[in-house]
Amino acid sequence: MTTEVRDQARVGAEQIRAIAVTVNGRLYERIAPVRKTLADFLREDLGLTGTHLGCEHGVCGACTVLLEGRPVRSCLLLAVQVDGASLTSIEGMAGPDGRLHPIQQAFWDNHGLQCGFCTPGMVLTAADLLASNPDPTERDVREHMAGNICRCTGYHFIVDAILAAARQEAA
Amino acid sequence: MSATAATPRAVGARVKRREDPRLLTGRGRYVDDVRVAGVLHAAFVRSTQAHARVRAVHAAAALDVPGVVGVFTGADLEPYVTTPRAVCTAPGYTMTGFPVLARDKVRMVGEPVAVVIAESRYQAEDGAEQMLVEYEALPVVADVSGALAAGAPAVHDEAPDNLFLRYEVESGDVQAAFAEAEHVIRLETRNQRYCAVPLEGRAVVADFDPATHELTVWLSSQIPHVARTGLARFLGLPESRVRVISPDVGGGFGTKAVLYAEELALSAISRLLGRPVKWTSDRLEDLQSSCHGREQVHRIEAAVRADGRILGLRAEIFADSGAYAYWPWGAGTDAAQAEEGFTGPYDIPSFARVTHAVITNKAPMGPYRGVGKVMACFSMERVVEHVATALGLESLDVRRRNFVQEFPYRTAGGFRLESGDYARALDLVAEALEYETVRAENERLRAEGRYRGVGVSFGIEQSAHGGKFLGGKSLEIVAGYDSALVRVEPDGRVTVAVGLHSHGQGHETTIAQIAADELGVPVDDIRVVYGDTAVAPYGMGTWASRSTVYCGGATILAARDARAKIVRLGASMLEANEADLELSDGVVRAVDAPGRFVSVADVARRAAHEPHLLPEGEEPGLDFVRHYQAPDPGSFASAVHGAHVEVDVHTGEVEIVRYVVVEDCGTVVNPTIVEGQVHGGVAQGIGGALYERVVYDDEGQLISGNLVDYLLPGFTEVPRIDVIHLESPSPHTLGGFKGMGEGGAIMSPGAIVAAVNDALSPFGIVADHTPLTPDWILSELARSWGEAT
Amino acid sequence: MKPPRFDYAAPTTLDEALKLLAEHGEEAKVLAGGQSLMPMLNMRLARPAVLVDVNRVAELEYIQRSGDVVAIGGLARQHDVSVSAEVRDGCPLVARALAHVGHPAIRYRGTICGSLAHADPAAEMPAVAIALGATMVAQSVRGTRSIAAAEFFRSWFTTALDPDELLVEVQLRAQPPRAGCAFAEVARRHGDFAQAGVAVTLERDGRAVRDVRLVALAAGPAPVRLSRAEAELEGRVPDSSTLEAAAAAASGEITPPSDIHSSADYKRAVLAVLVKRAVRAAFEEAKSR
Repeated sequence: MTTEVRDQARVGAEQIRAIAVTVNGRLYERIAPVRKTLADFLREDLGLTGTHLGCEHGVCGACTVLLEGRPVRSCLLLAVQVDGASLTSIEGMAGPDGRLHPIQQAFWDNHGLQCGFCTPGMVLTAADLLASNPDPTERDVREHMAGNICRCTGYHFIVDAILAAARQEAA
Repeated sequence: MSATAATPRAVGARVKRREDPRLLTGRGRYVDDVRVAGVLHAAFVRSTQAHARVRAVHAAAALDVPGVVGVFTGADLEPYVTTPRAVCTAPGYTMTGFPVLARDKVRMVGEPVAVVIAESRYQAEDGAEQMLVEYEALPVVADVSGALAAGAPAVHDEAPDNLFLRYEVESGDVQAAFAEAEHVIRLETRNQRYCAVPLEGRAVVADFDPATHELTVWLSSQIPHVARTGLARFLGLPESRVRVISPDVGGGFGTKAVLYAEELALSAISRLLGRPVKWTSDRLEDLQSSCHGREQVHRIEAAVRADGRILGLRAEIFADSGAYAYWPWGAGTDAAQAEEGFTGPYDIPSFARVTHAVITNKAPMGPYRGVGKVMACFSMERVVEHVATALGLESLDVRRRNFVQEFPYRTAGGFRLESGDYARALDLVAEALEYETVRAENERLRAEGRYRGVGVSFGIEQSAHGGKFLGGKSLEIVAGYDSALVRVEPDGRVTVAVGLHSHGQGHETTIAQIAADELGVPVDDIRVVYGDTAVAPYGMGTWASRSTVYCGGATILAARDARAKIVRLGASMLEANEADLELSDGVVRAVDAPGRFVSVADVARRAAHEPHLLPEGEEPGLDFVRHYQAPDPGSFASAVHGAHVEVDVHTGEVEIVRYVVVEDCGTVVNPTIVEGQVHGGVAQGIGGALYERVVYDDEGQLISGNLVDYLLPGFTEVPRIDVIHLESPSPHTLGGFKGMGEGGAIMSPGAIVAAVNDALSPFGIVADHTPLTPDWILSELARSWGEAT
Repeated sequence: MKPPRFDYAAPTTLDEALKLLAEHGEEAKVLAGGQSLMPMLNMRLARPAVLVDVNRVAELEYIQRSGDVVAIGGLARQHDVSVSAEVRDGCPLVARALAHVGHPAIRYRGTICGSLAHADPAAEMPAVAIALGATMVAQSVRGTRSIAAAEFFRSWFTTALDPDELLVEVQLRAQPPRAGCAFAEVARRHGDFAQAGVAVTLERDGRAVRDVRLVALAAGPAPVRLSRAEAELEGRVPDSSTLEAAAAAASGEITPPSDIHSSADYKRAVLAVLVKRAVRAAFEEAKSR
């Protein structure tokens, strides 16, 4: 109750908390300030810099990770919120032997990236699309992916990549 | 001497990008990913005023904030950094400085005033919030008319008339053209302020080593060497003790091709503190203080003959250039490019123009993809459309009647158009759009209350500007060459280090393709590096669509030198004549006796580890550095864009039904990469035509400061874009390459506006500006319905 | 753009959460989906002393139907609501409106009740709640009370909730048998906030409209019940001239702001268009049932 707030651990003026989170199948135990975003936690505390910050207000989707299998904007989550949870970041998409996930392979085959900054978010959101809709139309792809912004590609080859990945996973 | 007929060429092939595996798996290395021990973090305190004197900066409260290590103002940094001042001695240009941290005055909202350094970015922002800056407001110069009005306050003392640049040029015989004209078309065109918004913000890690007095700056930059020069100069350090490392860059589009205050401030602070300092612009900062682009107004008169031939042009060009001039390119580029490129692909020798780069209290204009070429193309295409309408001609025919027929052709702006197949390009676009069929169908749809239209835009893209051309701009750095180092390692693999950078263009792959063909070595044996000034030879970076021509050219020169020596050494090892040998697939072999060969690896080992076996007079080693100067004034790609749109006349919304591009950029290195560049450029042009606006109010406050307000086009706004390739090689560049990275953004706004105008032609609506927002469209429709009833 | 300092609590029961709100009142903000609050924290536009994270209050995660009431618990996520059978069958208007709410990543975290409590006048859910005659259930340490949707939305980002109250449930009226509904919106891009929008429910009585409810979003400080437009439709056959009259009335009933994207005039004009389209669509649906 009130004690929960008053007696929290602090460093200086900063309230901190312990976090135990599984990321890409591996358990991490850390302590972090309660105001630290999940995106910053992944990048700085866990060294997983594949998750990128493009806006920090939930518009661009570059920070997308999977929380319990669902894409979320990690700039809009606090690290402490994922204590006890399971996440997948872009680093967890390829196989342990380095073999690319079919979506990653399709992006490569179809020139679905240029500068690469939006790409992790694109791949994870596309994974969610194909998990719920394995045979999407182009319209389906565009609407589902619309929360991820790219400034380089004009989206054309990203759409091709996702449709190719869908065909490949169906085959 | 050496034929490579047996090996398929790498140039022209759709080679998959080697950058991609690391980028796809989250292993790209962008500046913010760089870990440096002991790093501190920065937050900038930025001006909340568009035009004000700075009376005082109070840091006491900030210094008390937990985690804050220091606060730095302009006064603190003065001993460590001088104010950059872009040098331009062109007539009509007024030079001004761009202070690293504001001292006595601020001239734009977002201008850096102080820096708070702390253990984390969170705490640095805590500290920044506690900073108190006392401003004394000055009248705001909110726009071009405010800047040029009588009695307007001077934003810079050096420029009492609020002009960075003003000059007049007349080519041909404009008076005669207008005297002969059977019609005179008058119009005013306008593009709004918009900007690049690369998804990765501007990022810096500055690390001054107090032991070695060497500065290392990780910088998300398109111009690592030029940035190094600037850092060294303004920080008072020898250039040999400054290293800039530009790793993976998450988009640039010109935004990162200038030197900003932040990297200078942070380098100075790192030196003062003896610790590395890190900063990445957040999106609010980026929208506010990274360079802006495009905002121009043109007042135009066209002298026209009854058959649609344009005899001459007059134009007054006004670029709203913002408050400062970036180092090193200065503040005149947007305006100057609009002027010199105005006539586009058309044969119009008579052109009189007055060009202004106007100073206002906004963020500075910078070289955003296309720069002034966008407005040049937009205006010229609007002229063509107006000519067609006024004379009752088909606009494609007006283009055919006026475009350049014979090459080379020297334009009124001083360009030499060297090659092109304009007739074919126009025909291909018309065919791809099914122009006649679609227009007839659109006519029928109107009866159903559906309004569709087609529009075309035809333009040139000056790329890889030549050294004399750039020299004529009277800047202190003339980007008229670039460099490549080709090194065959002792094991026979090849490293190519180039002076360009990549922020998405795939140069790691395309340069390897070029080197592979020249060297006769498999593409997979070639590694391309760039971005680290300690590794790559001095170069001018990637902007102005220059990289393939310049670094492709330099690579070809260096690779030819390498090939020559490899064959020479191979001849000595095989005891054969050079003329009897060929080098391909990494092997030097006798043409008539393929069983006699040495591998490039054998030759490399000889050159590196067996100097005693080398022929008399032959030096060891296989390192070759060459510099290539592209032909003046540059190379000229061209493209025709075609758009088919539908306008919902009840809501003003525009849907792009079809978009095609006929692209001619000379010899194509990698068609897929070219298509990707076109797609991305068109998407930005769609943004400019329909969605993106940088908006300032009358007090110079930025209203469009986040991505909810600044609308980037997304998956549902950008259609498929069909690209048809034409190849009119340049007769002048090595490889026949022309640059093309900007064309997508240059031609597209005109095509969309033409298409919307066509859709709304039953209502007599003609737009000569961007953006065409639903609000504007609906209010024009309401006006026209009101007039009709 | 990093959040300012705050204290954080993550209660696991509703009781705990309510005690925290009682203790901290105005100084606390509730963190549910976070899709609206986190951007404000990142931009330092919100500066609560205490953040009460209710995401671990499992008892608030439910979607239930009993009789003709569909009850959505405080933590039910927008995605889960949009795919739930209870909502698709009982309140199809909600599912249709949710298709316009943001993007999947936003809907996986965002909650229905969070959107209602946030009361952004350009948001979809508040207008839908009014159209469905919803009842908001607010709870605090002082007890539970029900607030009709029509009274819930006071002004910009302001509801009838007291600082110590949590919106624990929203009860929606299930759509009756011969009814139709429609949601229409114009936004600059897919998923953006509306420039203009309308939620419609109605029933059919022969060829005429009955019990029509029209609620506009992006219409002013709060969603607007378009009662004059409804009066033009009630009991009438929705032919062109009736729809025209309703549309014209609707335009006049709203006071939208001009903003960076469009003027008030634009929003009024488009609302008129959307009213016609939505009423037509709702009536077609009612005819088919």
